Amino acid sequence: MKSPLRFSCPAAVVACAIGALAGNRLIAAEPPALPPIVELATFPAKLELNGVRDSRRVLVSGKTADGLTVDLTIGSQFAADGEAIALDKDGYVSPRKEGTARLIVKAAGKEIAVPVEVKDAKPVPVSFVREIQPSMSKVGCNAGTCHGAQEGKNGFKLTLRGYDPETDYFALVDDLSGRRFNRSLPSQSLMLLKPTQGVPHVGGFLFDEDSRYYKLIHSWIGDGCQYDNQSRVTRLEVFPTSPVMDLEGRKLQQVVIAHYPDGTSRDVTRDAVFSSSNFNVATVTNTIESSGVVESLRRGETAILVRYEGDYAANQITVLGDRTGFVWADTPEFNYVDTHVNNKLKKMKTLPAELCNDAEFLRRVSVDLTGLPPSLEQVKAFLGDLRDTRVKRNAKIDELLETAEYIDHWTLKWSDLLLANRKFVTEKGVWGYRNWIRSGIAANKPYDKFVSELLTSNGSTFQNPAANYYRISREPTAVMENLTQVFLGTRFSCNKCHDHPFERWTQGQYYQLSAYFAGVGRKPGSLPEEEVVYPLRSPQPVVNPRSNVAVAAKFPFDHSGSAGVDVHGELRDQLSQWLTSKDNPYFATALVNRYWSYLMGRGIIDPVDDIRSSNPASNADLLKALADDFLAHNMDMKHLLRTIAQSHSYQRSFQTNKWNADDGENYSHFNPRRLTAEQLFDAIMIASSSPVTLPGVPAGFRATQLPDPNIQIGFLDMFGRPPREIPCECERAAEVSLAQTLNLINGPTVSEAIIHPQGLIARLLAANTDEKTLIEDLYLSVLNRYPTDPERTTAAGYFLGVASRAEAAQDLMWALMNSPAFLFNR
Amino acid sequence: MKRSAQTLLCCAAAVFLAGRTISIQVCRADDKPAEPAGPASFYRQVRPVLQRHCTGCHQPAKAGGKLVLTTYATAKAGGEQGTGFEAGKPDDSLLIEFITGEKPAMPKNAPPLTKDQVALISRWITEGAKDDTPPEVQDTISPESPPVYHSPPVISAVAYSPDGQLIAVSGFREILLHKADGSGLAARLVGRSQSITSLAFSPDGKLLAATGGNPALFGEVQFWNVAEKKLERSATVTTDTVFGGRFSDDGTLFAFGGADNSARILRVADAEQILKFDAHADWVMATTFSVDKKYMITISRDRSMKLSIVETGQFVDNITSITPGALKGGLMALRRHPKKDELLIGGSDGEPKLYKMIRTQARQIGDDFNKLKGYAPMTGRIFSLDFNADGTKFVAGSSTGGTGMVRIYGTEDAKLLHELKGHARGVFAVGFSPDGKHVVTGGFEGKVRIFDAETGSLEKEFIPVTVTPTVAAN
Repeated sequence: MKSPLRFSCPAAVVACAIGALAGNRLIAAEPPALPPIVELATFPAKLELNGVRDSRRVLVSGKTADGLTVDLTIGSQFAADGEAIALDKDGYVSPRKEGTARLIVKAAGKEIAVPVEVKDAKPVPVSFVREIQPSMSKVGCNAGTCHGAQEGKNGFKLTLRGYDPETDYFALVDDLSGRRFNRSLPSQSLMLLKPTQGVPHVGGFLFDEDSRYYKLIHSWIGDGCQYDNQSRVTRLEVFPTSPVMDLEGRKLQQVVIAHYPDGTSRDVTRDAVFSSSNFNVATVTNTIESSGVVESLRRGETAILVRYEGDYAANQITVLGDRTGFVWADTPEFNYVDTHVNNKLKKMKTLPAELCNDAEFLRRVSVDLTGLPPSLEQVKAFLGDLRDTRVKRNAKIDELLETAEYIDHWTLKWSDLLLANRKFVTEKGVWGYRNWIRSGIAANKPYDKFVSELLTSNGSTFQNPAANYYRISREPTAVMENLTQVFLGTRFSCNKCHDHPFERWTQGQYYQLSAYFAGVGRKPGSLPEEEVVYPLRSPQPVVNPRSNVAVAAKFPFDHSGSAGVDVHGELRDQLSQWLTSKDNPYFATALVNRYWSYLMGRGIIDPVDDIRSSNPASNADLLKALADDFLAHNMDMKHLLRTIAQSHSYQRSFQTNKWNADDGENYSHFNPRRLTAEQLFDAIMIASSSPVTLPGVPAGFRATQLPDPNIQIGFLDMFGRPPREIPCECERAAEVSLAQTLNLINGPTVSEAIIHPQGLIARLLAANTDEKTLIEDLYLSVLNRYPTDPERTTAAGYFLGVASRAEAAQDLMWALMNSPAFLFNR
Repeated sequence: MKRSAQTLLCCAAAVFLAGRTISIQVCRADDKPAEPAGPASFYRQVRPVLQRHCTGCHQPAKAGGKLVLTTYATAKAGGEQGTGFEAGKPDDSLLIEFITGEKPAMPKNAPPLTKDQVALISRWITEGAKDDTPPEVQDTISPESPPVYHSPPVISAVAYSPDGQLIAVSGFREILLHKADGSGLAARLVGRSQSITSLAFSPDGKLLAATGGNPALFGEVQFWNVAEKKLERSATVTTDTVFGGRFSDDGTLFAFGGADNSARILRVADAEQILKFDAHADWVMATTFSVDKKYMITISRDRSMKLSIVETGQFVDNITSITPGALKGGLMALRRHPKKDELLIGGSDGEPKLYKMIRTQARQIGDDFNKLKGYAPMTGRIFSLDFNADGTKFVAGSSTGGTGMVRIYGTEDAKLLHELKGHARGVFAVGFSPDGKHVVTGGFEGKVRIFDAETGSLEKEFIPVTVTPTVAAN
């Protein structure tokens, strides 16, 4: 659970957080009574069975008088009516012979008959790919902690989560001359004795002799342990799709349908593996006895992740909880962002916060767009501007987007992502690379152009600094890993050694995509430390270590723009065209999601560089609208930032109300966050008006302007400056530590800035400023707002008690700098 | 002022720390309560509970607290803490003490047993803690009632008798002795082990030794009197099957490997164990002796071939290279040259290799000094090797899992002499006839094939057991 951060009343916040923690362990009491059901329905409305192992169940739902749909599957009674079908204890209907029959469903005092048609009931052998392998996945044989571990377990190794059925088949039948099965007496097969604990098994008891899995494996061994080249699943569907559960303590059965390339489908609910991305909100069952049943525990949202045979799906679950008394109040919508955000809030019965005040807005938008808080003068000017607040806010946004500080701030962001680091590209190189990024930001280069210049770069890294991209990532696989994480927001590094554990990316695709960089040559230039990137005449083949075969370049997925890619051009040109195409569904989405997170504190898909089907967007419509708008505006990054900053959603107060206090991901209120290392350092200098002198750069260079992390400044490292070694947003640490707190209280950075002889306090005292103005200016400079009346009184009282005016002023500035209002962007 | 600011900051830190929750998910199916009808049964009620919740750790291979709960006898004997249970006195029984209480000590790191399960075990002890395990659980097989086959068993071992009259073939729970010309079954040697992993005739042909056992339960070495078709001696060893048995040239010693990473030597005369060798890090798959039986040579899935002294059990040398990456995958097959101390190995990399036994030059990092020859690699993994009588040729069998391959190579000139075709699936066992004229093979398919070693042509192919068709199970 993400705790909302409120600092107006810290004690209350802590109490709230502790309460929330204790609440995690609460088990929902008696399930709430169901409202009266007026109508019964099943999904699907009729069943069609196409094969002897095509068993299916129906979901039973009831409609209440006020239009609510509740799941009644658990607790429904089923009966088979007809010779063609059989019903098992799980409520599954399986074929007995071809023909028609009915499934009688009784629930909530009502009855409904579901027509069943058995189209095919011919006996067929058990399939290893479709039946045996999924059974082993379901009971966890191939889990990473068991036989799916890199070295297997106790001499028996399976591929992780069964990504390679053929290898697993050989492990079962070929290892140790057929030790693991016994065709002569299948019940004496090791692969049945182990999971039933007929012989000792460290992995424990997994199923008994009466179970479906036992019978399937028994029958497969009896048939001679054959391998079948059945195609694997191509798509999973989960029903009911994105259900809303009204209260805590409700249970909901899901059904997973697997679709195969031959057009057939199966109900694989019992064999699919389920997990809940937020098990504080809802849990999901994952045993042989109960599979895919969601239980709502507390208000919130979670994704139920479903895995089956190497394919993945996610089902978004919303638990409303008791919202008695909630009434939606219309709130201004400044642009389309607000429409989408509010639609989600209405669905969640969450009430957005008020618009933040002008002072809060100015500080927030300045930090977010330029990395720096406003100066004392800027605060006074903005607060004194009497125009309509929306007009002056929009004008401020436009103004900030054209500042030099905007360029510095976004250069820093991109330098992080592109790993500008002298360790890789020399000192001369890192300045060149930084300046190349700067010029792109300054010119507001369209994003696709920016990326394509990087990817297709050639020549001297000194003359064409974009080529540093290939100086930093030196192997085809390293370039590919960087590219997918930065520009597609996906983590391909997982599928280097095995298929991606949470996504359909395969190990083969890892090498196919890497092969686009097989032709990148690197050689020393004529200058010392210079390197030249050039296209190789004969590319070094990229080899998949599993097959030991050179891999041909191939896109991991096709989109409607890939047909237009010129396949005769240089490989990197092809890749760049494919990647930056407007039709590539990931390219624009990854960028808008990343930029959104910079301003809103959390990605719509979060983490922003881990996009996958099992990590769904909290607001898919919003994400799509942002991406569409970005594409419609020629991938203009300033337009994107302007749109977000102008929205009411961005300008909401961080203060919460009764109806949004628990919201962490739907943007009903602003999510406060600690200033980043560079922002905090620069903010201390600006607030104290202390001149900046950093080592290795010209005087006056701010922390935001540093070219790379190899300029030793302990303060920045303590506050989480990323070392720029991996292209992950997670490299920048955002947490608050005790060491940081102590440093701010006692460390030299703050205290030296406060007492600096050219600083604000020295200047104000030299000018004999009266006490009221002095206090006011300190508040304006540090917290970027006027003090409140009680604050003025408290501060004035403090001045009375301290003999030295200078010391009193320094104490006040110190206290303000150590307050959350300064340390956080909120 | 300073103090209040400090408080504010500490609270901020506290919120961040509190925001990080660590949760552990425990998923486990709860068992159905046992039905309290009639007296509690050890075999049908108590044993399943122990099997499901206890024997993962308290089994012969692990024996946590020196307690083994896989059989009635060992459960009663107990472990470090004392006797397992006192018949009639549940309150004085350690078994009950460990599974009850506020936070039961057992099962470790798992949910406690349900009330019904505890009540069941307690009731069984109260009722006298009787052992009602049937004498031969589900086991109807005996020499008088030999196994009935519905499909041919995988062949994991074959061997020619020294007089060339018989071929021994592994079956399920038995060894099949076939006439060497493939004209029919001579005898069925039905024993206790389900799995027969290797077969070897003593040099004088009087004994047939088999290694095997029941996977994950026990290992066994069987010595059969060939003339009388009788089990002469049996030694039960370890908790899993044993592998790769081989007689010394004088027939007095018998070496084999185990799934406990050990290699052992038995005295043939009385099946007494005279040596246990523990230097391997993974299962020992095959063994052999030097010509003078002073040394034992062993290979393992740990990728190494080791030399040790029979008299003392002392480790002498890694005969193969120990350079990381020099050996790819485990070793599975080993044969010593019939005339001299040269060792032929095969394994996961598919390349048969010949080594001299004794190192004559100090090891240097990265060397593979003892290697004499490498032979053209085969596809898949090599499971079996055999020399002809004078060591001029050898046969090797491999499996890719999908397909099998058998080849005859010239030992000295490393020439590929014949590829023996016709194996649809993996080959796990090969043997040369003593006169060098025939080669026998077997594997996944369950078929015995006899080839003409001079021409490489197939002479005979048969299934070594009688297969009784069965009605297809549902």
